[in-house]
Amino acid sequence: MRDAPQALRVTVDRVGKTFIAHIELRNNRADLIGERTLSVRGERCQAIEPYLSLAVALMIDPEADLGEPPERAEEPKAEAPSPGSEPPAAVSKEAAPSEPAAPLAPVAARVSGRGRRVVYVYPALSASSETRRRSSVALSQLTQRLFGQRLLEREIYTVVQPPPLFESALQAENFRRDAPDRAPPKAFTAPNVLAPGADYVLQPIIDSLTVQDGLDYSRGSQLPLVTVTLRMSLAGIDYVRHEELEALDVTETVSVEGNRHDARAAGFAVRLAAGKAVESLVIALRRQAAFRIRPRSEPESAGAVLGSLRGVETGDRFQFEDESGARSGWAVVREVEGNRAKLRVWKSGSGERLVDVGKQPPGTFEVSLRRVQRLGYGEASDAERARALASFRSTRALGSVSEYGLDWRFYLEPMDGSGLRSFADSNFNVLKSDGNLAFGIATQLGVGYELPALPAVGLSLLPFAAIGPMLIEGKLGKSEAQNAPLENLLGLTASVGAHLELYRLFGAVSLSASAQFEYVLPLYSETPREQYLDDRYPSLHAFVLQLGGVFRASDYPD
Amino acid sequence: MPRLSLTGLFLLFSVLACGGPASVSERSVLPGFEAGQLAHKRLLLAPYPSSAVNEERAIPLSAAEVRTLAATFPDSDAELSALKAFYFSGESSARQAAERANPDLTVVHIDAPRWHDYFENSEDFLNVTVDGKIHYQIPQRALLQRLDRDADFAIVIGGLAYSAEIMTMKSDTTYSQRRTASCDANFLIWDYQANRALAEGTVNSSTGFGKEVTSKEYQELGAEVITEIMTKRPFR
Repeated sequence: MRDAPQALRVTVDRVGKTFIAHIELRNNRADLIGERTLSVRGERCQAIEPYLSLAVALMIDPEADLGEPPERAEEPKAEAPSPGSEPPAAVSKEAAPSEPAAPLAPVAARVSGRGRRVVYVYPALSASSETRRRSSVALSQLTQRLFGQRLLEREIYTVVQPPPLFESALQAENFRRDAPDRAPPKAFTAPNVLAPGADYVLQPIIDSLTVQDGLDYSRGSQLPLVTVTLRMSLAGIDYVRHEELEALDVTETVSVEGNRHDARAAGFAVRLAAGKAVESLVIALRRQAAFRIRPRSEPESAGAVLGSLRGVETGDRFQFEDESGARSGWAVVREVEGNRAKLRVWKSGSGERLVDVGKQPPGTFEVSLRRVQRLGYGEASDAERARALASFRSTRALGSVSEYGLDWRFYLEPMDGSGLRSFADSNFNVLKSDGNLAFGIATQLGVGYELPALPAVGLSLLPFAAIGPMLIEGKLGKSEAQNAPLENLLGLTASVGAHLELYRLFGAVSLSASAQFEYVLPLYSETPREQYLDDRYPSLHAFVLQLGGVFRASDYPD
Repeated sequence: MPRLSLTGLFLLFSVLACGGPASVSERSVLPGFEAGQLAHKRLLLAPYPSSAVNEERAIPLSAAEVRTLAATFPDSDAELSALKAFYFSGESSARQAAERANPDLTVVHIDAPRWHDYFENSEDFLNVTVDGKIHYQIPQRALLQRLDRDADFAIVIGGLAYSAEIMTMKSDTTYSQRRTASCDANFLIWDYQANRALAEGTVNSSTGFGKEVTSKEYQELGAEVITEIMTKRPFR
């Protein structure tokens, strides 16, 4: 019997831009019963988190279960088998990835979850005989199980995991061509008992799998590694819309300490790569209308809950969308617990699924040049104005005044490279930019009220609204998971905010501090629109804080 | 202000086929290694794997041009034929560079018909990365010995990204165009005896082209990439 793990120790180090995690598992006698070293390249330590959680799960349960097997959550209604229904087929016990496929034994489909939409997830197929030789039935089923678990975490699907329907990827491809117009498949959960019919069908395909000896200099040492490169794609059918899903594919390379002759290390790396590939594909699936995020209502909390949302943080915003693609309503993440998030729903409208809109706007700081001209004074009399002019505009002479004005703001802002400004995109992450410049012109209209703070200095509060074009030179964003970077973006900005000014503190120069919320509607970019969800550029948002001098050459109207 | 003359309405185009090919490169080389240590050694130019070609910046040739190249390598599909042509133009320039810099360095290549044997088994390669992103497939020495192509050092290409750009420039009423085909390559030089990477870097090669990129310019790029790698450290 295997020693039960009692203690887990994880240390994470950074070497250059690589995070290296060392995991140790000890039994109750404190003997080391397993250890793994992982390395992931990234800017922040969060880059290693998903790998780490998978690695720990795999080490605690080396038989690659990665969680509880799906339980029978509901008893499907018995139905007579239809001519198009699947025959019961086959699975085998977990085996090392390089082992030959075990003989197949008949099993029934597994059903789990209570969601309204039914997703059939089939075991992975191998794209070629070469890949089939390298992978195994176990990897095929592990992939199926991982997809099932990830979808179940969304808490809105019923997941059916049937036995294989096809023997080869080619057979599956031929089936998919006409499938959207046919009746959806139904699988047996027991003799003469059918699972609910499929709304969506997902078919993972292992395109290639290589297990090699490796070396990674970015880890800062020359340890022998086993390096697994897994290319996996995902095809599927949307029976609700009668269309084939857009094919997705990812390539994951994973290295762990060891060598390719060490079956345990190699198997571990393969499973880790499979877990990562599944996760990337499930995230990429969210781009498709059928798999947009759908919140589950929780009446007692006057909000809604999102299951399994990796990378979501408090303040992230979503927009509701209905089945026709029309958008209505907003929701904001108010609390994150593990991989579940509670939402504050401002308005849901007719939509029931969510589109990622953006993160909480990051704080930014701006250097700008403003030209201000007051157009008039609200309460000052002619005599007061004359006195003010004679005394080089002494606020004491004027007393408090209200004002309204129009100004033009020219600005030039270095982007992330200098840390002065950053934008949030519509895909969860603060957009990265490298040496970009944002520049533009905004016309601001505001009103203000000014109090005499010092004999020659007034204190003004001026709420304003502004609009104008903005050009962001360079690349904004990254294409890590889904989208290409926005390149040379021209947008229309709209902002609201307030200036607080010490009026004419240094002669004609006022000291100004302001805060504004800025929204950028992208109009044109050299990146094609097709690269983005629904062919729309993501909108950008930012809080802009300003501190600086404002030159007021002549504040007194002629 | 001069009035716009009728001739100003005609756009005068001229195509600037940039002279010869040009290259720039950046590399890290293990300190202490002298070019003299390459004397009487064998240098393998490792065949380029298809996986090294960037999917978004693929080979910039028309189907007709690729067919021309494919005729030279009847045992390969179009994409692999183009890659082989790129490789052999590099191999030829590697020999010339070796003759100039290290006459005692022998350049070893893998014949086109044997590429299938070379790439047949992924386990015959060591997967090496320097930055955690670009992965180089280093052929194990046992594989080279099986193919009778043993070597002491190897140049391994880990990434190939092509582009063809047309830049239009305007001066008064005249427009001119600069057409440039370029290739960005990641390379690693492996030292079999020390069992370590000797150098790693990137090279950008470019050349002018006329109406479209032809196999001639494409092969010029292939030659230029290797020439650039071999005219600097650790080869000099």
